Amino acid sequence: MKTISNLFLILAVLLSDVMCAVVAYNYCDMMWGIKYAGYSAPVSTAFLVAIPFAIAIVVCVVIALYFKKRIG
Amino acid sequence: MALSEKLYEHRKKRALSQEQLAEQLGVSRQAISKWESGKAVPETDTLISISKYFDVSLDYLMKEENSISENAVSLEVHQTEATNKREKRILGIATCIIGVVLLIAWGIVSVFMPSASEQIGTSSMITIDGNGIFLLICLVAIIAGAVLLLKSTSNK
Repeated sequence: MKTISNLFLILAVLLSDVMCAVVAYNYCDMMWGIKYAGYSAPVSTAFLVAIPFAIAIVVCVVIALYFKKRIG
Repeated sequence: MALSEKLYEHRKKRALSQEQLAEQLGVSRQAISKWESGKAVPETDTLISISKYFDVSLDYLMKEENSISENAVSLEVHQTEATNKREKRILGIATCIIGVVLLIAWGIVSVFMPSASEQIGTSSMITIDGNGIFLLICLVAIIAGAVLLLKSTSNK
């Protein structure tokens, strides 16, 4: 139980790291595109990439907390 | 527990003497004595009267509880259920982890190898972008795994 809880907590942390990297990359890409390549979408579109990561993080945290509660 | 023991137990519960019970059932006191000692078994119509009088089922009166075999069967069923739950839990964890790993891999690929991400994007034959389909598959795997995992561990 404790191992599963820790495993999903680690996965949640990893996902959040990757989410930050992906959103930052897309944000920079959008900014460059708007400035030089004529992108019509606003810069905030880059945040849409965070949605699947956010869902996955929430699921991982819920599982981790559930198993933590079962131990205690 | 045998029929004789059940008869004795129920008679004692109601605080009846053998004579009183015999009177209620319309049989002789000796018959009751023989039933309780296990020397004889009541006839079918008498058994029905006994079951009505003590408010128990005929099934309960007639069936001798074989605790050893029943326990063995229930233990086997319990073990099978536990194995099924364990398999489901492992499947849930595996599905969830595969989904998360794929999602992380996609994130890394999209940052460090944008050309590969573009290839995935154009690989779709339907209107949804290939990256979108990939992310959707990852999410479905994560959620399905989580549901399976939580279902297999919840107590009912």
